[in-house]
Amino acid sequence: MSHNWSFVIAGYSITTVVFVSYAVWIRQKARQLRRSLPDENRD
Amino acid sequence: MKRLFLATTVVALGVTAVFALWVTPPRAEQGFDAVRLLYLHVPTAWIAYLAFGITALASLLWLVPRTRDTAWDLLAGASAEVGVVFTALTLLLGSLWGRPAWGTWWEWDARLTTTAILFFLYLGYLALRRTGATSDERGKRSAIAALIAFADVPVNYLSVTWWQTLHQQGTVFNKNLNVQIDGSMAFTLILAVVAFTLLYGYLVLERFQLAQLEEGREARELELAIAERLRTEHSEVVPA
Repeated sequence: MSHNWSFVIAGYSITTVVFVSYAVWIRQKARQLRRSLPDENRD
Repeated sequence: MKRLFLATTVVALGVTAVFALWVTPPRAEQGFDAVRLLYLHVPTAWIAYLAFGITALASLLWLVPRTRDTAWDLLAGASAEVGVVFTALTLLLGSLWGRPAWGTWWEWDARLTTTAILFFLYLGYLALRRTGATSDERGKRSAIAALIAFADVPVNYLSVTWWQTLHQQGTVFNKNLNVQIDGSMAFTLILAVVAFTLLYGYLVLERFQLAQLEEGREARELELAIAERLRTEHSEVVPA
């Protein structure tokens, strides 16, 4: 395994973590808001 | 429907990763595996352009009185935020690729600098959206800011041609270079662009719905504040 694989692994890991965290953050915030709003504003 | 969209996106990204990491060859002459970052770096940069393009288009639609709708403003904000995430990753992945390829994490090269400017311009745009104002005021000033910020996109794209510094020129659509790309590499790059476009679509959809909820909460808070004010005024007028 060439030494530059570490950069590849870092790149793929960071990308995965960033997108998963962002998607989870949006969904959690939306869930939180849906709970706090009255029924007529829910999806 | 949204779950199916998410599932398709995850599968497309998973297949892209398999092809990028195990099927495509390293760069032939050096066994240079860092080239595998190409399948992340290039699509994230292209999708960032797409995101800011959608922001500019939605902003324009908001500014035209005939098509004005709060939904355009919310879409512009959602797309810009997702675009900022893609731009941050473009910079980060470029840096990770640049270290083994150029021997440096960062260089004040034309492409890198204009990408950093793009990132900060849209961070500023997002900050502007959060300053207190009515929906109309926010829509107007953010739409104008989005159109100004978008001017950096063509500058960023053409920077490698205009200044020819460290970053390589565009290769995929460059007719002058007559590039011979390995079949599996070209396929994986196209697949990656499709997968990241799906991811962009999914994230914008989720972020747009969240923005609608935030808008609903603000309207609700305003209603409650008005009701409270009226109740207070009424109790002051009518003696107990």
